[in-house]
Amino acid sequence: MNKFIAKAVTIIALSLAIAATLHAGVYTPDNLPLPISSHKVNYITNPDNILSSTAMDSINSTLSVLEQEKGVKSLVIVIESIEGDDPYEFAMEIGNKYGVGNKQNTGLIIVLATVDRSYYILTGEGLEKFLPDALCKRIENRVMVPQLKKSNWDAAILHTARAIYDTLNGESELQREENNEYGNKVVIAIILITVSLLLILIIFVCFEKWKDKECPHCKQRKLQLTNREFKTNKIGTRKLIIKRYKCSSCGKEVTRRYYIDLTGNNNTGPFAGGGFSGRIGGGFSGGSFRGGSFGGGSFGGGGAGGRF
Amino acid sequence: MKKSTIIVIAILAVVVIWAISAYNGMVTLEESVSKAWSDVETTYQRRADLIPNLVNTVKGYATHESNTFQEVAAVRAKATQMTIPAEELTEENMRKFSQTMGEMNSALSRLIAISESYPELKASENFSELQAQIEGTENRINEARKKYNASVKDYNIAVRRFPGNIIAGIFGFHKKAEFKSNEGAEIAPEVSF
Repeated sequence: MNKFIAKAVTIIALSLAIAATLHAGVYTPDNLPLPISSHKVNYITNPDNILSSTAMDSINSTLSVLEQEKGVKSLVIVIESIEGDDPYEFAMEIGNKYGVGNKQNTGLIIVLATVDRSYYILTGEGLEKFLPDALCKRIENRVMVPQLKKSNWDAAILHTARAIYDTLNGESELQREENNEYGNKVVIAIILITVSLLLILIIFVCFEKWKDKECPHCKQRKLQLTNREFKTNKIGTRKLIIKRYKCSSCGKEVTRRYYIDLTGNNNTGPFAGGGFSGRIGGGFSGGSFRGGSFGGGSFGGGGAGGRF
Repeated sequence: MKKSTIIVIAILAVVVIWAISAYNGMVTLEESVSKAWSDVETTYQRRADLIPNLVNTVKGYATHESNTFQEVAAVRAKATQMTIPAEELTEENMRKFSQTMGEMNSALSRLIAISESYPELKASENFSELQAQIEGTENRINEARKKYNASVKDYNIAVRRFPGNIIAGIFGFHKKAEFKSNEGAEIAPEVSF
């Protein structure tokens, strides 16, 4: 009996191990880890350790210049295998899932699956104009594929990144867009706050007037203002307002007195203090990591790919 | 008496406000459908624009394929004339559109298949880049079509669901047709050796 259990356990463990090895290196858009970064900019996800760390540093520095100068946010995915073996679909799903890119839509995804022997350069909708499919293909044909055929994964990606940078560097029309998102949000917030404050004020005033009209004797809202008087006390610290009303329903007269403190200490009105602190808006949601806080990028199917 | 009048007016006001918001919602959805549809047409147009380039490239290597070239030109001419205004996105029109585009698709694949018998053409950079462009266009067509179908779905739900369908009936919002996967492709391209 014990033997049987031991056998069963071994079989289960073995099959689990086999399943794990089979699974290693095969990725879907859902289980692909995003670039890990603890202290420096990282655009590359390299879970199977295909690229060397020196190559990754060079690629990252090229892509970081590309982002700083041209506002192109990149994501490089180097893995062994893609589930379904469709690099285009894979890149599209990743791109749309994380919104690779920004409001300019100049996201860029480079996929390389070394065991599948497939690759794809996917361009965001805003990048298609500057990096058309034919140009992607040319870079792949001239720069990437010759290295891939020699299994020089490091060189293939690095040279591709540099070729893309060189191509886009010549495009003076492509510029990093100044991030005025924050400014716009502040302006909108200020307008909204002003409008709502005004509305509250109007409602408040109307309500006061409406309340003022109630006659304390017959409880009907028929009071009419007949006379208004202003008096200031001798030392000038207080102002007295006397309002006289006559009720048109019961004919009685009502006098109301209001004091206004002129010393200025308590004269700031009901909307004083507080102030608005803290950031309005906040950053984008979605997958964010150093070197590419994504959001808003969309892909229309641009780019090119192939097999080697 | 007075109270009942107020109640009637209140109910009427609520109904009118609901009707306005339902109508506006449908207008917005209809706009997004026509935007998505124009994107679909643009991507097909883009593919049609690539054809002359491709024909010229192939002509340079494959001189004995004039029949195919003529056929492709004819299909292309037919396809570029085919447009459907956003108000007439009916099943009928959609089937015609899909069929014409399917014909263009098969003409295009025949043109590309020619390259198999001309190794020099196949190896040329120009041809490779054109092929990449065509593949990219196919991808764009698929994306545009997905987006169009999604927006049509939203629109149709709004137009057909009760009580929105009353408003849709009054203001003439009709159901729009989805773009079914290539109906023209059912007619498989002829392969002759």
